[in-house]
Amino acid sequence: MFHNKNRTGPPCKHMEKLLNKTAEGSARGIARWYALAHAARCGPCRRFLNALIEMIARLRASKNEGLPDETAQRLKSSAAAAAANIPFDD
Amino acid sequence: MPPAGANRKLEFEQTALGELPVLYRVARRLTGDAHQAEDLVAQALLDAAKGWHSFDGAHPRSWLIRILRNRYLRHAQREASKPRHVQLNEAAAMQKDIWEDLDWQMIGPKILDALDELPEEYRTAVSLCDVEQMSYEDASLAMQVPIGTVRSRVFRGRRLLREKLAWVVNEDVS
Repeated sequence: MFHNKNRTGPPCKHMEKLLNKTAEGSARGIARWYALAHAARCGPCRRFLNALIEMIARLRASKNEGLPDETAQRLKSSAAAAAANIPFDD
Repeated sequence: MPPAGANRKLEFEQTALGELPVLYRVARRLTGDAHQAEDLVAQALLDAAKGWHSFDGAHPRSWLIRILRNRYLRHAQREASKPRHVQLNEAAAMQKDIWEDLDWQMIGPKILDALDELPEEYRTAVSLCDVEQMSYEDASLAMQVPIGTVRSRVFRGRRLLREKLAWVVNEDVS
């Protein structure tokens, strides 16, 4: 494990996948613990992890922007029009 | 008693209505344009209605996104027009400064613009897994690639996105 909080540069190559999983929340148990413990002692990995967490949070938040009303209405009409194309006979 | 087909129409419409916001957002990311996104969703819904009889009912979101994406890729191929994106160098994306703190007040509104500029396979993977928060399994069904490929595309897509965002900040500052 790295113990250099002040090191600069890219994150440790072997940690990148695990840090990605930790940032998105899919790392569990000892894998998550190891990633966090590593990041606590390794400057580049800590910055990488924090940056990923922030970026993923921003991306997830962008989902909450609603559809403009007019767009929603047009899309609903499209769905109804498409449904009308489904034949009656099975 | 309603005719058999009436129920199928209703089921389709209810399924489609529930997925419209997701389909639109994914289409918006694919096309990079609001009007084209609406057209793409409308065309995909027509395709979906035609194939509704053969749909097994599992993973409707993945099924609809797959139809949407296939429709987009066919169109892009036919037009021989590639999605707009800047060339990104993954080696550059590993430079040390891109993981430094970024000014999110400055970047916030631009994050989706930056996402739009990634190559399609990365853009779609990040859009499905991070923006829409779909599981890797559902995303793999939608993209018709193995789960490992989706995971790899998401990881690389995030790296490219980060590089793009760092570039945006540098452009704004200079």
